[in-house]
Amino acid sequence: MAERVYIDADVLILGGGTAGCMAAWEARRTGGEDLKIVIVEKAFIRHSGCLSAGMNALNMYINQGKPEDYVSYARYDMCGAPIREDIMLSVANEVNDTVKIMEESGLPMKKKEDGRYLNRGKWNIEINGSLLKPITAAKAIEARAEIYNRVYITDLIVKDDACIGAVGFGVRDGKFYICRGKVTMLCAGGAAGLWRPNNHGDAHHRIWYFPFNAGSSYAMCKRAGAEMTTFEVRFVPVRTKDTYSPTGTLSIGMGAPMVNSLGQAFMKEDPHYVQWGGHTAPTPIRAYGFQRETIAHRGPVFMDTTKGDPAKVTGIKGQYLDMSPSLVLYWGCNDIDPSKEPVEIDGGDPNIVGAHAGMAGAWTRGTSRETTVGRLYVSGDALGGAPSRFISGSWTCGRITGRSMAQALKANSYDYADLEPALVDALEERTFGPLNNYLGRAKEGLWTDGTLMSGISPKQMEDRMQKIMEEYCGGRTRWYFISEPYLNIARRHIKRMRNDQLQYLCARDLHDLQLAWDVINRLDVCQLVVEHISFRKETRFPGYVLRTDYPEADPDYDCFINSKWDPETDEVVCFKVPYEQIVPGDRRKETI
Amino acid sequence: MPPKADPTKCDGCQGESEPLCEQVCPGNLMTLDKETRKAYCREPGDCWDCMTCTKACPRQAIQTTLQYQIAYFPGKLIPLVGTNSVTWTSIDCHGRVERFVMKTLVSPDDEDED
Amino acid sequence: MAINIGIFICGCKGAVSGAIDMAGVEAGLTRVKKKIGAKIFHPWLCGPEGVSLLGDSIARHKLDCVIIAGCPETVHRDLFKRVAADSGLPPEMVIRLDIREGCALPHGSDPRGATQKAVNLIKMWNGQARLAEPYKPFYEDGNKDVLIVGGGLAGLSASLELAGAGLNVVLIEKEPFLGGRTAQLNKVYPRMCDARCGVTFLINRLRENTRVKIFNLTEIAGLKGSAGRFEADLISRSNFIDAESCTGCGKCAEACPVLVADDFNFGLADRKAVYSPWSPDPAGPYIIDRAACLSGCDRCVAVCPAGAVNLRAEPIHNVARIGSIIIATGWKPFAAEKIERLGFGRYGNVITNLQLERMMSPDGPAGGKLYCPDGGEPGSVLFVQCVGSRDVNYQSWCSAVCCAASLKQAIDIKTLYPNVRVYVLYIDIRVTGEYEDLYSRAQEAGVVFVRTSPAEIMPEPGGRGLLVTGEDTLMGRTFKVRADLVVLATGMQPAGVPGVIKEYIEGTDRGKGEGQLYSCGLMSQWGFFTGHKQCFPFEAMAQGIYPAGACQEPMDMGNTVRSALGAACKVLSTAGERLELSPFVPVVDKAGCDKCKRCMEECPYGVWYFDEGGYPVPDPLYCKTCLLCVGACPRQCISTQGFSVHKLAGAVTAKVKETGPGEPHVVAFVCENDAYQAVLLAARMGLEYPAGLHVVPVRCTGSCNMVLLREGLPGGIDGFMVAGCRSGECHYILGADRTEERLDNIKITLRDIMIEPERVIFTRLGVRDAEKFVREAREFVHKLKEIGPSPFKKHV
Repeated sequence: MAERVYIDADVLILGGGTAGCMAAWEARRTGGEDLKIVIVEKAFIRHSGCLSAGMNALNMYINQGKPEDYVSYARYDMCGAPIREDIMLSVANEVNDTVKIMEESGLPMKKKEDGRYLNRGKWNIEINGSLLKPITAAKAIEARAEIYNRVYITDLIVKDDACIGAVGFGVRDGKFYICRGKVTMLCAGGAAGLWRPNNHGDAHHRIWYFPFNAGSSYAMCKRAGAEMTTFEVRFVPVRTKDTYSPTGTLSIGMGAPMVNSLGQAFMKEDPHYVQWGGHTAPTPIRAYGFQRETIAHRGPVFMDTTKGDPAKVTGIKGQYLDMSPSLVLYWGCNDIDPSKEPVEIDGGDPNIVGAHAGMAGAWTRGTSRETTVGRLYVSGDALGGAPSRFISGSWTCGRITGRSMAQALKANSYDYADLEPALVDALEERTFGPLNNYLGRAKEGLWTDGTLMSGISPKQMEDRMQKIMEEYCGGRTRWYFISEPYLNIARRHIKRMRNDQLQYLCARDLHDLQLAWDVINRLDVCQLVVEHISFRKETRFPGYVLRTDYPEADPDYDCFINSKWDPETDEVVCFKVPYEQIVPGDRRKETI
Repeated sequence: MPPKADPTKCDGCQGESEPLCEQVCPGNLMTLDKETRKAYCREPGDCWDCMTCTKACPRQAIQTTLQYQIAYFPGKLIPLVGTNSVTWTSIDCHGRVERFVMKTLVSPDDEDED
Repeated sequence: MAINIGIFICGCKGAVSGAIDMAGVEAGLTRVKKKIGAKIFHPWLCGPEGVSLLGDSIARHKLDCVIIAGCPETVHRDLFKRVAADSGLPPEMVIRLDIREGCALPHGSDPRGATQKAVNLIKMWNGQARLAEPYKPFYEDGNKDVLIVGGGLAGLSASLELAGAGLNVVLIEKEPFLGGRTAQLNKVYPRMCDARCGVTFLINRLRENTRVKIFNLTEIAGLKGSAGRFEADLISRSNFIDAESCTGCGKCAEACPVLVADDFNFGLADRKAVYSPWSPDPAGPYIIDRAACLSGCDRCVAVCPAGAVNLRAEPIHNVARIGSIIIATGWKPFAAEKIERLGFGRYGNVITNLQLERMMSPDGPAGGKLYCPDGGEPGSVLFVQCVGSRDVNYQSWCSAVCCAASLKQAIDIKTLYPNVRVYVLYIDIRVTGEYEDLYSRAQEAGVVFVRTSPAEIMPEPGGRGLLVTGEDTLMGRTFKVRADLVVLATGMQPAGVPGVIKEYIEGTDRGKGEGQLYSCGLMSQWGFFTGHKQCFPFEAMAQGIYPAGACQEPMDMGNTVRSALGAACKVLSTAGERLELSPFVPVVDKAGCDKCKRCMEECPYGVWYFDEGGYPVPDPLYCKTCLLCVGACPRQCISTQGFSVHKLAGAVTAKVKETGPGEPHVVAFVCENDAYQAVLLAARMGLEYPAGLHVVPVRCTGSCNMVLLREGLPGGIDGFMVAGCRSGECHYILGADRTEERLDNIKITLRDIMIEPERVIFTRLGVRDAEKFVREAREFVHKLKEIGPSPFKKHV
């Protein structure tokens, strides 16, 4: 038995990232000095998660118009909905305040002559965000949140349809952590690494999304019995080739359009794309444009940076250094001067995210951020139905969640639940399962290279999962095409892995145990993805999921697809939930 | 971009069990070689090249290189972290040097006069 | 944070305004506006008119901080602080900037450069002043308990002094008696009084004091914690006879069949395995030396009428929680048998000076009578000096006390036995200071001195005496002399620091290397715990641990008592209620700390410990405020009220201009104690160096965080000079060495990023190295001109 650490918190926050830190800060403001706030973080809070490399822009800021206009933009960018407009509005209403708070916390904002923030496009502002994460973490520290670094949460504890805490293991100390929360917030990011990345071997994590976000938010919500939404909307990044760095810096900074090998700025010129909105078409359509041009043998596709001002290149490189320094190195190593040659772009491995141009996540009640499991709150990428929140929106969303939790604590007399020793023992056994599995299976013999004769490493299982998803669930090499016969195979294999193969999953050490739990969680997310895509028998977001068996949009599916997992049958039961329009107007147009 | 630590500069953060790079790595990848007492990346392919370790290293012992499968030798990109700025030196494959001084934090006096 | 700063620029009656164009300075500062409440030029600020102007201005403009640009801080320190205090400004908010020795004097032939430099310096100081805040007083209670290791003269003296000051004292002694070597001596020079007298006095006074706990037969077996919060594991051997029930009848000793050499008498007599140790403070009336017992023998048990003997008694463990430790482990005599030609151990009548002490002692083996161990009374006694000492084959050091000790013994013999001939064979007679008197007295008493180191001592053929041969180096001829008794003046060797304490100090338990105490010069090559002899003689590199007495170096009783009182004084400086802390005590900003522990590892004094949250914190009472931690912290989250990286960064990032076309802009961090004095001296000597070199004094170069260079070089500064003190002279042991090592490291980084490593130099300056400073400054600036402006200049 591992040494046990018991943690009790009024507000238990699982994940010290963009949303979690700000939730702690706002919970302190709303809940007062006596509130006990705990953040459990699997890495080190000052440098963890999506923000660890920095960011050069905040992509959600109301530079002009009203918050409603942003909601209409987000709706438009998701091909006209469905999105949770109530949630989006709540974020848009406060996002500018949040940015101000972060500026006061030391975040360097670029400014125009008149002192206003330097915008980049309609809804973006430029920043020097290489220390974005330390600055964000400082807010949690300022809020006197108790921070537990290097603790990997493996499962939520649910009792009587309410979440009463969570358990996990210390990545460094190997201790078993048992956390009880009067309310619990899960904000542990989205899911990368479900599909096979384009680069292999020593570059296989050279991908767009943060590779250490393994979908634990979704998997734990699912296992806790929460209602989940929109897992069929996966985000396909079309980014600079090989490094998968963002392209907004190029398209706006260098005025660079996407061009095919014939030199055509196809999004602007081809009527097929113009009908969707041309070069400012919704994100899934721009991904679709890239795919369609390549499949039609008009690839490779580039960002044509050669028409821009060469004097801007240095500035562009500077911006990348704040966010994705590898691109600058890549250009240096490969003799690329973007003012002289166009920058090649490529589609990367799909990702399941909730706050970027995707909207998978847990379904929440109203704008409370409380899931269908009582006292369990979500935010950031874990929150479903509300795309295009990005960093500033996730900060804001975190604040709203923190406030909502503090208010719920005031309104209700929640108390710590008693944990039956048998339950805790069972959870511990499950948490350390792969580690103990290794010890057990090592006795059955090792090959000469030191690997197990009768076990599977987390890496091997991840490779298998990625192969299945790649080949049967529309990976990059399959041009993101999906149809039911393929899905049936994917479904079968994912099920087999989850139900039969996990018994062989072995972890040699605590780092391996972390990788093992990553793959366990990813498999749960794969199951959600396969079932959701299968259920939505239409093609609404063509660049993301192109169903070759249902290539058109179908009005019957103009709604959310939600699901619940049945632990008895291991079935994910999908159902439709109507979309509610709050901001009036044509859903396929932006209001400004 | 797997981080590589220069053995002549890395002092394992003075023989502590957990050097700073290990402390900060978001992917739990940096670790200390028990024999040499120097830091290294345990799984280069798992690195996302966020460069947190490279920037955090108190001795600037960690450099980053791109994987050969995507980039030619011997380009370099080296950050030098100051109090409120980070300075990047990019040395491309032909030895051409470009430098970038980027602001990282606003100090209370940043908006002051000349 | 200062928000309304007053800048006062003093012309110093021409000393400044002669070289610096004040109008030019004013013009250079026109754009310095924000947070500036006043910019005032005055020809003579320390004059009556200037002083009242200063006071008035502080009040009128409601200034919360003033920069006085003029003479160096050491001049008029009290005057300006008083003026500030009268105006309600805390003294630390008066920031002095030296533009006289620092600018006007050394750049007399470059008025344009000097003027621009003055502007630059004011901007740099303004950058620091903005972050200045009035000191908040902090207090801490000191731990008042102290452990004293060693119950000899040093330990007893320190114990009595500290107990008298109200501290709780735990005194441990590994022998069964107190008094140490002093208890074994006969008389004390120069007054020829009884050595026992003083020791008995000390012991009796200590026994009266309830604050003192004394443990005989006790050693330290473990040590953890840190200054102010040590936990020492003490292990006490049993004496196997219950001291409470023992009646002292002595039947056990009578029954005991074992005879061994009595170590208290240096083997001049024998004792039983059961014996009565020296009074007045034995571990018990009788104790048993179990190592000497015959196996299975229990006669003492059988014979004891009180049933007090328990041969199976186990050692007792105790834990002492104390704030400080004094190591007073003393010395041991050189083993004279090592020098075979002198015959000790082979010829009974060759004895050591300590044996002579026992022989002459009234409680000695013959009741204080001089005799030859082989029989008879000596007609002649011959002393051989420097036995072992000053001899590269044995111990290279002079044992400092043997000359005076032998003279004392010679005089004593001559006084008691006027007919005995006494010779002293010496290399040099080293009686220093007033003890010269002993030499005169010995001469008057008829002692014969021969300058020689004897070649050999052998038995007189056919006689009972000894023949001593050698070369008289004064007369340049060989000699041969007969003596009945030869006394070897053996030297002192350090008894050594208990292993657990040494391991603790050197951090060997934390994976650090052995020998640190030697390498940084706190322990001499010969094993004496010298400390940093002149500046911090009780320094042990682990705060709260102080050496005292003859473990520090060979010393006589007078010096031993002085040393003990010095160590006691160090303990007292950290033991009290509500001690006000220095504003230079480092504080860790936990919001910024990554717990990398580099501060702990680089601290030369080991004052850091972990708080409950696992964050490193320094013990404020033991911190020497060298601020090496501030320089080491990779997160720059250690600062002090008086000194911080961020303040220095404010100076480094100030928007300055070059002092002349193409003149390199250089920032020089100089250690305030040594190198800065050389800079001041250079100015006063009329030496000139390039105006582009801007001197910023720092506490110790070790407090310079390398981030200042990493921020400054990209900011367009052409070069950094860091000037520490000379090798081995750092007040903070490792400060300058650490800096040199850090700079070597950053030079590699600069080379990697294709910046000339020559832009950074480290130099070592003593307080009077004015010329060296000027030479190096010129050479450095010349070199910078050769390699051209910083590639970052264009980014500024």
